[in-house]
Amino acid sequence: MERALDAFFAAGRAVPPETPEALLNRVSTAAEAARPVEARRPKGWLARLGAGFGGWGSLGGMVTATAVGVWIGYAGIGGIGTATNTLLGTGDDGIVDLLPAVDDFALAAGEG
Amino acid sequence: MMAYDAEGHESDEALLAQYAGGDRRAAHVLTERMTPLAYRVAFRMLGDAGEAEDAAQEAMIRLWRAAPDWRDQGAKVSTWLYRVASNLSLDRLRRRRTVALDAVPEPADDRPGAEQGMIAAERARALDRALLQLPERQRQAVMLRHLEGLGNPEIAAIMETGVEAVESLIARGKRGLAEALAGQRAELGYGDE
Repeated sequence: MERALDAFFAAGRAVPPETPEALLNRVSTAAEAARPVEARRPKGWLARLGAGFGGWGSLGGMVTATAVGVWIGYAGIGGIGTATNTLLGTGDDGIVDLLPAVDDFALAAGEG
Repeated sequence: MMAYDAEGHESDEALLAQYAGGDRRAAHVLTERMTPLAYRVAFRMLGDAGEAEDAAQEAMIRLWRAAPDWRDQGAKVSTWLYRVASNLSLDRLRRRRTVALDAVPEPADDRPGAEQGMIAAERARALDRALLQLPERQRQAVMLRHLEGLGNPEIAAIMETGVEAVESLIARGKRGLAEALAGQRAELGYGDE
């Protein structure tokens, strides 16, 4: 009888109850409903750098300031005049007199 | 449903950890791989396709809920699921009113019933009917050992009992099965084995 039972067991293993497709679909839907929020991937070094400085906007400002600093260091302080002359349209031959009356007063006082 | 590699090489435990991390693909693979397990157990314990679907679905929902807190301490997901599906089925059986053996429901399923494979399917159905005539614990032990192919220590863990008790349940269950199937052996082509 043992051999006959084994044959029944073999048939049971060979032809198991077929899982209904509808059940698979319901389980899949339940899995999606219960699925934990996807864990955030670790950021790359560039993203972490940006975040560390308060975002890309802040980092952009820092980069600009750094570039200006480097340029000043390279060009020397005399270059600032060149820059302002260029930007403001002034130069050694075109000094802007912001308080012309002061000079007039000093001249008058000297004469007096 | 999309086809996924349910027989892939990733362990159940690794897939559950991926699901806990939000991996949708892991959910699909586990669904295809584990739902049939839960359904087989429930169907053979309950003998009713509709109830088996409900029990299997509940077992799988519990698996999804357990995923975030799953701790890899050597526990197998399949062992856990066998236990949960079995216990849910036992709960349903206990809620049923006691029924006479001749009122045991005819296992209804959609296994192939024509031409090729018919004999094997008939034998499988006969086995399922005979299983339903066994006391619940014997049925559970015999099913896990001879249809699911588990070892006695794992069955003992699933049934939360000792290995010796499992051996005893299986031995008694097989005697009961032999008696229940005695009249059908010739009919199902087994002769005088």
